[in-house]
Amino acid sequence: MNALIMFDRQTGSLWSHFLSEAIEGVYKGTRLENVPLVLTTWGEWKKTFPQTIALHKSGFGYDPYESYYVRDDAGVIGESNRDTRLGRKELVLAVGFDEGPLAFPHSELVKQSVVNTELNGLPIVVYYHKPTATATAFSRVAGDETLTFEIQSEGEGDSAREWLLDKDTGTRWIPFTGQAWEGDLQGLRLEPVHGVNVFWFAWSDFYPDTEVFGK
Amino acid sequence: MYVEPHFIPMKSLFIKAEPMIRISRWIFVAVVFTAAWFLVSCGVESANDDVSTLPPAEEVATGETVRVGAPDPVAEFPPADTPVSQRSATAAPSVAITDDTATPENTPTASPADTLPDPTATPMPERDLDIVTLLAPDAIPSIDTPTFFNSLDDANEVYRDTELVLGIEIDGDARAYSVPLLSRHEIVNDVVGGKPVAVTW
Repeated sequence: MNALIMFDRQTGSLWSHFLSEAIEGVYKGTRLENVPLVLTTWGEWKKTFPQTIALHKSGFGYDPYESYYVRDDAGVIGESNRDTRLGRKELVLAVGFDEGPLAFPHSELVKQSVVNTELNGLPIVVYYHKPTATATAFSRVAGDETLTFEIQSEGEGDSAREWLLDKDTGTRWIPFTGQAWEGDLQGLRLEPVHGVNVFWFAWSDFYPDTEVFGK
Repeated sequence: MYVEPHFIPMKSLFIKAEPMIRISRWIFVAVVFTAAWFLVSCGVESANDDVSTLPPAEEVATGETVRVGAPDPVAEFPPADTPVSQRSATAAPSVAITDDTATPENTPTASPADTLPDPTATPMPERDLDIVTLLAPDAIPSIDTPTFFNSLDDANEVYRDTELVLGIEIDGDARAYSVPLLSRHEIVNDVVGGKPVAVTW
């Protein structure tokens, strides 16, 4: 398994950022609350949140792992469980974790950029933004209703935007954050489903029993 | 017990136990990795915190640890072809924690009312994990006092539209964290919308 471990300066406990959980030390077994975030491009993020601020840096810089992202090797030590259902470095949106892991390969989401499905009994929607390979997941339950979503596109080129439109109330939702933008349910926010966009080899090492969407 | 942790990357791996078969490979890979890895030394203030309460590194890791020395802090940026970090999750969850140090200029101080969850509330599954330390704690410096571009114009000077970011928004407080920069720091201890979070990559 390959994943970053963090320590906290106060107790020296070791925390897995993959599991959001302390695996050694006084906090062993303690799980942190997950805060939803989105892996996307700067261009798309600022379109969604024009008021955004951005972490300071000097110059454009480059990612030292650029070549690693596209190579076929698995972390530093290789995988301990080679699951051939998907390519080693194939990106998946992985959800469910210990409760019942489920992976949505980006290669499937490209074909079907909104998926209304269930995760361990919870109705969820998975959204995929093709231009930026951004994948998000939310509960489809809003108030008393279980919604069904489709994509609604607006504009072209640089000003193109996509929305999640629920067929039930016609409300438009921001697909990165699950906020109801306009319509009957305006003001509500879909409950995010905790997930990570991750290389398949890393996920399947942790969760070999993962169900793979589309397989 | 109330504590206010913030997080620092420690270049570690955890690995399923297959010790005899793979241990020599770990050492080999660890040495190769470490030799090739140039410490990021971007001058963040992660060294300012009190680390005296931490156990020595040897005690932090478990018995089957493979330990190699920390690399020399020679280059600000690792070479483009640096061997892979053990970070493999490409979009890690950010985790809400309490934090006593992250007080960016434009964020409110964390509310001390936040506490860590009760470990007994949700029993964790047994994990079959071994921990392997490749780099010492603080070898990769976390960002503990993040500063931000407050206007899009300023950010656009150094952020390409195609640049990957981790985006987070809490109560209208929207923030973007450059992935290329996160690859050099791996953790940002921040306060977003009043909530102390560790943004991890």
